[in-house]
Amino acid sequence: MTTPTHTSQARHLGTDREVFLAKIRGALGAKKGRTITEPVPDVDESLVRLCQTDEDLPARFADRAQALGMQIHHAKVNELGAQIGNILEKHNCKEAVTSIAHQLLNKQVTEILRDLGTAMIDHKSTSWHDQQFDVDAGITDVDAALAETGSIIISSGAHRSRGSYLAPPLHIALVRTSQILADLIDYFDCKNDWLDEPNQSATVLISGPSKTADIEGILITGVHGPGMVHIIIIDDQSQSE
Amino acid sequence: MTIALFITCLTDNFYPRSGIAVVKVLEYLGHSVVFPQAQTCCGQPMYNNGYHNDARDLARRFLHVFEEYETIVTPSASCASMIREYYPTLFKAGTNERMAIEALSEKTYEFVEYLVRVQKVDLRSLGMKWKGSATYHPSCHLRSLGMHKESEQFIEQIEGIDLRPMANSEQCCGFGGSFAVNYPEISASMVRDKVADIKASGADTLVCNEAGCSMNIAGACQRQGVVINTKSLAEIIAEGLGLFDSENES
Amino acid sequence: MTVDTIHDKHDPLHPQLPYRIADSVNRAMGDVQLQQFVNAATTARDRGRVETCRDAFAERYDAVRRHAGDIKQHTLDHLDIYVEQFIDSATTAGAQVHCAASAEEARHIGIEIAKANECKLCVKSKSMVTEEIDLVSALEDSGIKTLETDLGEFIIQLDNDAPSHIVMPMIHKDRRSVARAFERELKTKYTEDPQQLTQIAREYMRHKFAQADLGISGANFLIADTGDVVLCTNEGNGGLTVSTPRLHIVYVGIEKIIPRLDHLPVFLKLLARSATSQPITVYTTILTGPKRELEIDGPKHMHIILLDNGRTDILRTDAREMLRCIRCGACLNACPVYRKVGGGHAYGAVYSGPIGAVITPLMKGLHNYPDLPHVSSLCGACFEACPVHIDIPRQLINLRRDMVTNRTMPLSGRLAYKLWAIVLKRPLLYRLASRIMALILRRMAQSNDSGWINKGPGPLGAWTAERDFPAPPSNSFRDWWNRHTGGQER
Repeated sequence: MTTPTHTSQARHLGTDREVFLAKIRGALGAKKGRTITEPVPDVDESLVRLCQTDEDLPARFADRAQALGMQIHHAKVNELGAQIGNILEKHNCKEAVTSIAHQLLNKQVTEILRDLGTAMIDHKSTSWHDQQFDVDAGITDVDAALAETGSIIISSGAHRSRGSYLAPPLHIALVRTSQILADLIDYFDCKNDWLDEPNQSATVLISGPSKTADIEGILITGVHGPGMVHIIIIDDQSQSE
Repeated sequence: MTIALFITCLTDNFYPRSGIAVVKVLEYLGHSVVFPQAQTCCGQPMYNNGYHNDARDLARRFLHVFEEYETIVTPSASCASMIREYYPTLFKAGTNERMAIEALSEKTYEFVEYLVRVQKVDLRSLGMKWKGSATYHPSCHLRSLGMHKESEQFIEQIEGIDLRPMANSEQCCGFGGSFAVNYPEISASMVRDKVADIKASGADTLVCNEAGCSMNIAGACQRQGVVINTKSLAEIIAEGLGLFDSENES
Repeated sequence: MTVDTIHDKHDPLHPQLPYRIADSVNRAMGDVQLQQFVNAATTARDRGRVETCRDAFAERYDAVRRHAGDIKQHTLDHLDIYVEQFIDSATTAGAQVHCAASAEEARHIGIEIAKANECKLCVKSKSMVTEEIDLVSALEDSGIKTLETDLGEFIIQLDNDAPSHIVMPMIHKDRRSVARAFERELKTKYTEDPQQLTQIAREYMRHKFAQADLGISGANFLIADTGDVVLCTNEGNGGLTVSTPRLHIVYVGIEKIIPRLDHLPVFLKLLARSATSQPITVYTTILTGPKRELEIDGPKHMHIILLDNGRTDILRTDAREMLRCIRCGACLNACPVYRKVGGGHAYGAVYSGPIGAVITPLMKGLHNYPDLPHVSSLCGACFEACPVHIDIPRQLINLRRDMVTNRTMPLSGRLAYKLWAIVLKRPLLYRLASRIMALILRRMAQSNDSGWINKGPGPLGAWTAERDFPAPPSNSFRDWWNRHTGGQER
């Protein structure tokens, strides 16, 4: 990436890279240009894996996500409107931002919100930067989800803004059952396969509503990020079997 | 089997009854126990306080005194872990001396560990009985031997014992060798907590297998007027098997 | 406890050197309420760690800790290669990587970048490295208003106080001190309700995020082969810090590197369980360079400042394993001494507890922190809690060794141990000395009939200040043995 910017003068701040590396080599008694001769330790799955791929992944995902403090809903594609409507109504949300990479899903949700009369905030507009802290709800899809922990995984991109799942007090995430993986290991073995866009800058694993226990160890949700996370699990696998 | 006993300085001088119990129980189980007279100290005070040249000399002495024996048993988990965990680090890897030290480490056991892991003793099958209420303080060095849980399960095998749980039992009593005299306020505060937990257990007897902890805890109990018997597990087993017979032994 | 330390010039984390711990110990020993507060918080966290880790890993827990330690150790043993690889891959991903040899240089780089980009307001997420280099005051001195956005750090910033725990920075403060700080500094209505206090902080900071033109974060992990920067947070301030402002600066120590992205799960599974008994932190953010052209938001520029600041000095020694540390704070929670001294401030440096007792002297000089290696009963609770299997007690002992070797230890102590060792190396002398000692101790105990000494001279005096010392019985084990075997020399 060679975007010339006004910060380019900052490129050579600090210690020269070669001097810096030479000091590390010196500490290790290593020579420049050496290679790694011993095998790099591989992850020992027999120790670290906490969820087997043959478990009932949607059930475990729902169970764990709930334990993390997220609320779980199940929906067939045609029930999605009612589910979203219920959640928005329950939390008195007048406006929402949609941040959905899946085209068909995006179209559906847009129609649903139009039918519900929910004001739609456009995160591609120039006012988004300030607006993101005032919008009532963010609706996103996900890259993947993890049965092991109940986490959802969202990457940034041309259709998904980082702010949409971090700034609003309420986050609704749409998870298709085919996106649920067993273990963190399974995801990080092939993270790029699950990306909606190949060249993106941020991926976040979200595991619950925003939390803090800084004041006397008392657990409080919703400190900076969303205090409420609703997950709608869409069964996209049953029909194909 | 012939077992060489490493008695340790504290047990030798302050808790002889505990050492006697170890001998009696091992002999009862059919072992022949020898006591190499040239033994002194494992060198842990030197090692822990940074005097590693002296600690190395004492490790060499220990090796010289105990090398010839098949099995070495000591009543102290602290000294056992000194020999097992730390002796090897004092010698350069790959040298003959290091290999000899490693061989020594492999045949050195803490007394309870030896009974549980090597001899696979089940106290229920020995027919021992011990009446009384007791609570157990697992010494910190059992951590490095990985014996925390096993020691407690072993005690539970004693018929007649009323084992009372101790809150925060895994917490250090505050002894820590030189720590107790370098930072007496912190150390004393730690042992006060320990005494409070022991008192709250309501037990009459404290089972403690580490002479250092016993000195610290019993000394604090004495100062605070908390009446409790402090005994090692070896003593309890020996009593339960009726092995303490003559006056001058008990 | 929890006195409001407004504009207190004394900074407990950057004290005058050499730092002696005695005053802090005495102060803490007199503050029973603070002790109980820290004790309750750390004990609960420690139990939580054991339960969650046992629950997840069962009997594999120790093996998992070793495994994580092995991966980290491998990385450290080849750190030259992995740092170089990281610089290349992060640069390819579009970040600008800078190397800082010292704290001063690290501060300078950040400030220069901020000035070149005309930054006025900085939002900062929690980072130990920025504490280590004392960044915030340097930014403020350069005219860049800096806001700590982690709730605990924010409160500490309002009070001009210093964090006292790696993960729970305000473990030494209670809700009343938060209430007072908010009322005083934010002019909000006085409330002691943690939910309302949190809400006040949320509202206050949301606008700041929108206004900020600079975000500064630390990093929990760097991935050598992808150039990824991984951040683990719970509040969501980390995510906003690295998303909303147009410029993002990452401050990170070189030891945070791991070789590949597929190694990350091993550490994610251990970090949150060890730190806060969670299966995983609420937000695990993986950053691969700045915002791409087609992306909607994110910083236009991302700078990564790699920090040495004494790390290569640790790398050089047999304390290399200390750099495996993933800053989970489990050793602090497990440590009975940390609890007694009322938390982190007593350690006189940014890194406290068992981990701090080792790395502070290593980074800042043993002669500057001669007490820290000795304020430990070597109970090993820290080693047992460490998710990357660092043998902290052994490292403390090695520092004591170095103090003997370089004669930092006082002569009297060195002579005493020398004399003791001379005795221990000679069995006859040892037996004689044991007898004499026993006689003296029994004589001392004769003043009362209990068989206990309640006032002793010298080091024994320290012992007997608050507890008795036993007098040895008249017959030693050896005496019995010689009778038992009929006096045979064996």
